[in-house]
Amino acid sequence: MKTVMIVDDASTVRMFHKMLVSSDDRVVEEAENGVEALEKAIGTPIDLFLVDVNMPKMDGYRLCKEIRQNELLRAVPIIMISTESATQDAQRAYQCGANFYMTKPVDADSLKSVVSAVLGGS
Amino acid sequence: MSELLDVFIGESRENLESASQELIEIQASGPSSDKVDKIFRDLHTIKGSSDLFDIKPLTRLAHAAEDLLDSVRAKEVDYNDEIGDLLLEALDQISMWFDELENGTQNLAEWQPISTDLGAQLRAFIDPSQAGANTTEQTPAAQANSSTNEIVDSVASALDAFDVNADIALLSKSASSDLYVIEYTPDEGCFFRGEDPVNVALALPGLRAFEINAPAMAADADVYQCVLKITALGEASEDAVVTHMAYYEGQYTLHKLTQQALKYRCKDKILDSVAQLNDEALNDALKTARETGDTNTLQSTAGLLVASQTHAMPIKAVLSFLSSDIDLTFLDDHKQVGGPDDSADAPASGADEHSKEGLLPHEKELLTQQLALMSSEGYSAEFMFPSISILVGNVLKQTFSNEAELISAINAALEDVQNDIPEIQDVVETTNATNESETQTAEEEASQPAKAERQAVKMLKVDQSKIDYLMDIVGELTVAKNSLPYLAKQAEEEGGSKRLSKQIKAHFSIVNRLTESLQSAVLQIRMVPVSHVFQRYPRLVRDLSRKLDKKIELCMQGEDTEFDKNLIESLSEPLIHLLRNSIDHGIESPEDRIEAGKPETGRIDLIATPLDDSVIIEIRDDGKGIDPHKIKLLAFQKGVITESQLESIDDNEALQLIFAAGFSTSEQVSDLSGRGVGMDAVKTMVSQAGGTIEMQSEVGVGSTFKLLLPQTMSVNRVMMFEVNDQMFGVSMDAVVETVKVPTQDIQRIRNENVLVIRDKLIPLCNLRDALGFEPDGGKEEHSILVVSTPQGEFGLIIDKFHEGIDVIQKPLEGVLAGYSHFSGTALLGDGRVLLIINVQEVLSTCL
Repeated sequence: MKTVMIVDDASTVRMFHKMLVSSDDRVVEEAENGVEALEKAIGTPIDLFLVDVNMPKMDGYRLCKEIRQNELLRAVPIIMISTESATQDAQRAYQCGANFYMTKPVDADSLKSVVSAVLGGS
Repeated sequence: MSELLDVFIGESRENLESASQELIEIQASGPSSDKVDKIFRDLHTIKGSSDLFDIKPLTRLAHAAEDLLDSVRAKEVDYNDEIGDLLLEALDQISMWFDELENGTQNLAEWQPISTDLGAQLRAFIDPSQAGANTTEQTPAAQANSSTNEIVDSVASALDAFDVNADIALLSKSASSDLYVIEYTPDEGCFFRGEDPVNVALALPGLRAFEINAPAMAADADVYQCVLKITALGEASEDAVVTHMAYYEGQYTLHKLTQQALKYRCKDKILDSVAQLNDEALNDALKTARETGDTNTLQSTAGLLVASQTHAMPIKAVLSFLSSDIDLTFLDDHKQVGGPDDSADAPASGADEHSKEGLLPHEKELLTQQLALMSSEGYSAEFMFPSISILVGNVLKQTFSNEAELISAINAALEDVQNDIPEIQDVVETTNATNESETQTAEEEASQPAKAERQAVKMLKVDQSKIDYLMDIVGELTVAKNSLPYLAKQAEEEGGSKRLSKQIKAHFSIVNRLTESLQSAVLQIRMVPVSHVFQRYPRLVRDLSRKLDKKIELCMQGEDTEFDKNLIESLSEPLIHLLRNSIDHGIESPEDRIEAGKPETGRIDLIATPLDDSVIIEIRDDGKGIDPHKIKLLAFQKGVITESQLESIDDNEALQLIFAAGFSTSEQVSDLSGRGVGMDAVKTMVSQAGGTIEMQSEVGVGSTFKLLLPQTMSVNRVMMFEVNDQMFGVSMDAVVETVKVPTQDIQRIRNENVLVIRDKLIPLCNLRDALGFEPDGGKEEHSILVVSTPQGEFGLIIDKFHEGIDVIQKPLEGVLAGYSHFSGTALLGDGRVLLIINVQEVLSTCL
């Protein structure tokens, strides 16, 4: 059983992403912002973070950095999903510790396959 | 036709301006091949475009000038000032013809003899004999020989900038012949022009690899100067690259690259990687696995590699081979249609089967990205490796569903590389031969730079009125947005809905933010560098100083500083006046200068410096300076100041008197600077643009005029206040303070109302009187707005203070335009019109 944490302030987006990544052998956790994500991750082992960039309280960049500096979470792959398609936004995401960067709106099939690939089998 | 002609004239004027600027610089600092080349290209463009129209005299003159420059460029003709003057004359002539073309008053028959005459003079400098033609043919060949090594070296050194990674290694395997290396050294001031060099490089066509080299900066280095050096490697035609870099001409060198050169460059790295892979203790296991195929004795290779979190190299090596050195067609072509699920259902076994497996595009992308992360500058193993290794492990485990497959894949990769080694050695051996042929191609390419650069002129030109219109709309949007808070208030007070009010306010903050970004974006469009105006001045200084027999050097700094276009244009006149003033009155004649122990050549500095939202423009000369005592006396004689002021004002204040109306230091009107525009006119123009001007001077040392100007003129901050239940505004810049004083504190001196604030006497003006309202007697307390004017501080008695707001000020139009009491109007959020008072005018009627 793998756990994917979807961090996005828009509930619609969370719902959509949850729909895409859900499967029998996956659990999906949701968080509205970086702070909530970190709090929820304390109790649950996470296998993959799907992180939005623009969020209140703690944005995606900060969250990435926090995850990478957190002893328990540092090894968890992060896919960043942002509305910004500019190269420098992707670069910033990578600098902050994201493993992969995708642009919103994500293509359903790509998200599915990328998530499957990262989690190692669907 | 006429539209095309307009475009042609517009473009050519820019060429003319840039050419004459370069010519002036050459006259000042001697010819350089860069500059000659630039002028040549400018004239070449004019000539080429003019061919489209039937204006033969112009084409012919431009052609003659171009030919002369070509000879100068080829070093057949030595450049001298005579040539420079003649070229300038030709440029002027062309410019005049453009005027006529624009006005439709051209008479080609009249042009003909001028063109022939000037053309002949130009051509007289070129050796017309056949021998001359021969040398032109020989020169490129000679250059080719001498520069062969240079080009090899330059490509090699450009390539050195790269850490040869997967992408580059991959390129060496691609069949593409359109490879390039570009060395891009952005202009130091590029940030001030809003350029983003890194983005420019990232957007290069077919970009494959790219390195930024930023030298260590000294503590006192100017952080706003760009010191980056960017090297990029890509796969695209030279034309495409040149087009992309059109705006950065002269800031980059482009090298064409061949497979051999690239392979040669990569050889060490590839061999290194192989060696490293062989050396790594961890990879002994991999080798054993390869040799024996014994999967039981080993963990999953992926797992093993992934487990070694201490060193990134193994995983990097595997990734690098997987994504590049393995023949990628194998990865793409042999992937089964069904994807990884199918492969799991029908696990392949043995080395022969592995070819059926491979990476899906998104898997490859994921892996490539991880590799890029590991290769990126600032990669920290501690920070990134754990997640990368898990991710890679997952992807690999999934794709190569049993270890044997993975091992085979890595095997194949290794073998592939091993096979490459003899090939690489071949390349090494034949390097000299290939280098030669390669440089020849490079040379051929290089010999047509003019052609490539010609097509690089690409710019979106927009009619200014369109941008002004856009600005107007943005202005209205700003006003419309201001109505939201009113609405929120109304919702709360009348509708009684706090929730609605809160929502409106929330929306307001969004709209407000968007409007602000929109506004600043539009303002950005209107920004142009001051060089737009500055570049006219070297010519002016040169012409004037020649006329006056003075030697003057004009040094300009900060030409990249950006300004609102309207503002810049309104500045052009006053700056010319100030420059003329410095040339005419400031700088002494060479004899006087030598006598005074100064260098013979005078120096005028024209400096633009950005400061927050403003720009400081300084015009500094090292001339004779101005004596404040003389100014004081003159001012007294002319009735600008009174006798008592004569004694009370200090030197600095005295200097500022030259800006007073009715004052001119020059006793006789000179041909140059005495054109009836006094310093007061300069000051008026500067204040109309919302700026201030002051002057500093030291006798014998020089004078400095300092202009402080807002960068944009569109948005004003005004302070609102109420008189007789009507709202008025006054520019926030003028407001010094607001005070409330009891009536008895207002004193009368010589029939004037005055107020003493902190021992300072402030004359008062009752706005009720000044604006023609009924007096409002019997108030116990007065609200007084203290404003600053060039004449000192004054107090305006008003009824009530309100807040300050940002408005787009519009000038008064129609009948209202005659009311000088008001400088303009602005629309408030609730639809009311705010009259903005002109403090100076109001005070002059009041006092």
